[in-house]
Amino acid sequence: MSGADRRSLWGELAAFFRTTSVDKLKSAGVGKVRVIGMDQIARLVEDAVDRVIESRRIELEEREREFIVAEAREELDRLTREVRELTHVRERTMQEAALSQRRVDELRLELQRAGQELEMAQRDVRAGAMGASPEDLNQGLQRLVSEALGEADRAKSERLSARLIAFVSGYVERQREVVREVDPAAGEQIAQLERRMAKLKSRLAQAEDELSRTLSGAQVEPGIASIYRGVQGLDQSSGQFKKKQGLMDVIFQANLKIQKGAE
Amino acid sequence: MGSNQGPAGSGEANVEKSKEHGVLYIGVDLGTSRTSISASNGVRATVASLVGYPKDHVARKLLKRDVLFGEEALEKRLSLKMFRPLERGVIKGSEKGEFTSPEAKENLEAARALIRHAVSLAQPRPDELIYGVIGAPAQASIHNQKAIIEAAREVMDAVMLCSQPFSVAYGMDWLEDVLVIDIGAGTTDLCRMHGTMPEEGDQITLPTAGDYIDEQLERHLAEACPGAAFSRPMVKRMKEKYSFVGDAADRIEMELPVDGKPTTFDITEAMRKACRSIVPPMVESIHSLVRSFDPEFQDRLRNRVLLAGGGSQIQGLDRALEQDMRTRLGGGRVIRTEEPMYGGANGALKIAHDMPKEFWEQLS
Ligand SMILES: Nc1ncnc2c1ncn2[C@@H]1O[C@H](COP(=O)(O)OP(=O)(O)OP(=O)(O)O)[C@@H](O)[C@H]1O
Ligand SMILES: [Mg+2]
Repeated sequence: MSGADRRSLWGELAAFFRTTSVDKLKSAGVGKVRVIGMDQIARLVEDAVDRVIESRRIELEEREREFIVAEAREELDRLTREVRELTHVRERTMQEAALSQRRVDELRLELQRAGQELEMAQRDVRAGAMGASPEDLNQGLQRLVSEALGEADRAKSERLSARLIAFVSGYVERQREVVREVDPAAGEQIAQLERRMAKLKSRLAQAEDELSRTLSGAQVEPGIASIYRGVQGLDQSSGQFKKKQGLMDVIFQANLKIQKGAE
Repeated sequence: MGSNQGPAGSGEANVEKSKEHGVLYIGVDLGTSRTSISASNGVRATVASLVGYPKDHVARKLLKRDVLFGEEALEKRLSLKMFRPLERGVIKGSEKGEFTSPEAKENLEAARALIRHAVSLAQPRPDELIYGVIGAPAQASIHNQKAIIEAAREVMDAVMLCSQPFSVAYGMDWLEDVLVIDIGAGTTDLCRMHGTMPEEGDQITLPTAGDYIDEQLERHLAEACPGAAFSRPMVKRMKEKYSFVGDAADRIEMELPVDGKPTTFDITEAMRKACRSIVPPMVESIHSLVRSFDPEFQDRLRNRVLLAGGGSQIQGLDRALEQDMRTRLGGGRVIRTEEPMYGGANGALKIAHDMPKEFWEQLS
C-alpha cells in the first residue's frame, strides 16, 4: 500500500469525524447525546488491521506483497463501508438527539409554565392564607378550594383539594427530575464523547503505523534463493552411484506407499 | 523468463511456482528438545522444540503474536500455554492415528506450527519449490509417519521421510555397515545400518543421554560444592559449556553463590564423572550390536562408529569410547559428524538433493 493510499484512507475516515466542543453542543441546545459505535469503530479498525498484520507476519515476497496489499485494501474497503454504515446510524442518532432536544425545550417551557403556575398557586395560597395563622400548603389549598366552592359541598371540596395537592407535588417532583436529567449529566456525556473520539484517533494512527511497518518490513525480506535452479538428482559421477540410486529408490517406494495411503 | 534467471528477475507477472524459479531442498531433524533444519540456500537453523500460545486475549495483544517458538516461548512461558509437541522424534499422541482428545488436537496443531516455523527459518522464497526430507526415528509407526508428512505438506511441495540414523550416515557418505549413535536429550539411540531401514534387532535405545548427564552432574555438584545453590537449567548450561571425558585440558572453576556470597569451586571431577556416566552403557550396546552382526563385517562395523546429536559434543567422547572398545571389543574407531547439531538435518538435505526428479514429481 502506498503512502497515498494510506493518506486517502485516513482522509476518508477523518471525514467522518466532526470536531465540536461541549459549549457548542450546549449552545445548540443539545442536552443529551447517545454515544454509539465510536468504541466499536475503533475496535473494528484495530481488528481489521490486526487481522491483516497477524495473518501475514510471515516473510513476504514481492509478488505476494501485491496480493496482500490487495487483501489489506479489501479489508479496509470493507471497514470503510462499515464506518459509513455506522455513520448513518450515528446520523440517525443525531436526529434522535435533536428530537430529544426539542423535547427538552418543551419540557423547559413546561417547567417554566409550571413554575409560574406554582408561583401563582403559592401566591394564591399566601393570599388565601392572608390574615390567618401560618399554615402549610396543604391547608392553604384546602381553604382555597373550599372558599371557591363554598361550604355547600364540604366532602367534594376536600376530595378536590387532596387531588390538587397530589397533582402539584407530583408535578413539581417530575419537573425536578427532568432538570436533574438534562443538566450536569449532559456535560459529562459530551466530554466522554470527546475523550472517546480522541482515543479512537490515536488508535487509528497506531494501527496505521503498524501496518506501514509490517508492509515496509515485508519489502526487505524476500527470502533467500536456493543455489539450485532445477531439481538436481544424483550426480552420475558421484562415488557409489549405483548403490545410492538403489537407496533413493527404496526410500521413495516407502514414502509412496505411506503417502498414497494418506491421500 | 530464462531458466537461469536469478531472483532479481522474479518480480515479473509470472508468479507460478516452477522449477524456473528454483528448487529449495530442505533437510529436517525433528528432535524432542531441538528441531534443526538445513537448506540448499545455505541456511542452517535450530530451534528448541517448544510451542507457546498466549493464554488469553491480553497476553496475545501484549506479545503481538498468536504463537511463539523455542527459546522465546520459554522466556515468555508465564503468559503462554506451552507445548512440547514431539516425543522421541514423532508427534505426541499420533500413535493411534487419530487425534480425538482436545489436548491431542492442540498438540498436533502445535507440531504443525513448529514444522511451519522450522521451514520459515530457512527463509524460502515463495516462488521456489520446496522439497524436504525429514529424518524420523526408525521405530516411528505408520501413523506417526503420516502425521509428520501431513503437517509438513502444508509448507512443502513434496516431502519424504527417512530413518534418522540413515540420514546421519548418508550425510557422511557412509552407506552401509555403519553404527550410528545419536546422543539426544532424552535418549541415546544406537543403530546398525546396512540398508535404508534398520530392523528391530539393529537398534538399541538407552535412557542415558543429555538429561541423564544433567541429573548426574547436579548430584555430583551437590557433593563438590557444599552449600552452593544452582538450578537444573544452570547445570545444563554448565554441561554444554564444559562437558568432557578423559583428561581435562584445564581445571574447571565456577563461581557459585553460597549464602548469597559468590564462592569459587572446582567442578572438574564432577563434570568428568557426570559425562563419563553415559560411556559404559554405550560401549556395552556397541558390543552387543557388533557381536550379533554378520561375522564377516563385524570388524568393518566397529571401525565405523558415527557419533551425532547434541551429546556428541562432549570433549574427548570419541577417544573415551575407543579406549573402552579396545578393552571390550578389541578395538574400533569412532568419528563425529562434522556439525553435531546438524548431522541429521545435513544428511536429510543430501538425500533430498540426490533424490531423482521423477520421484519428487510423483509426490508433489
Ligand atoms: N556441548 C555439549 N556438551 C554436552 N551436551 C550437550 C552439548 N550441547 C548440547 N548438549 C546436549 O544435547 C542434548 C540435545 O541434543 P539433540 O539436540 O541432539 O537432542 P534431540 O535430538 O532434540 O533429542 P532426542 O534425540 O532425545 O529426541 C541436550 O541434553 C543438550 O544439553
Ligand atoms: Mg535427535
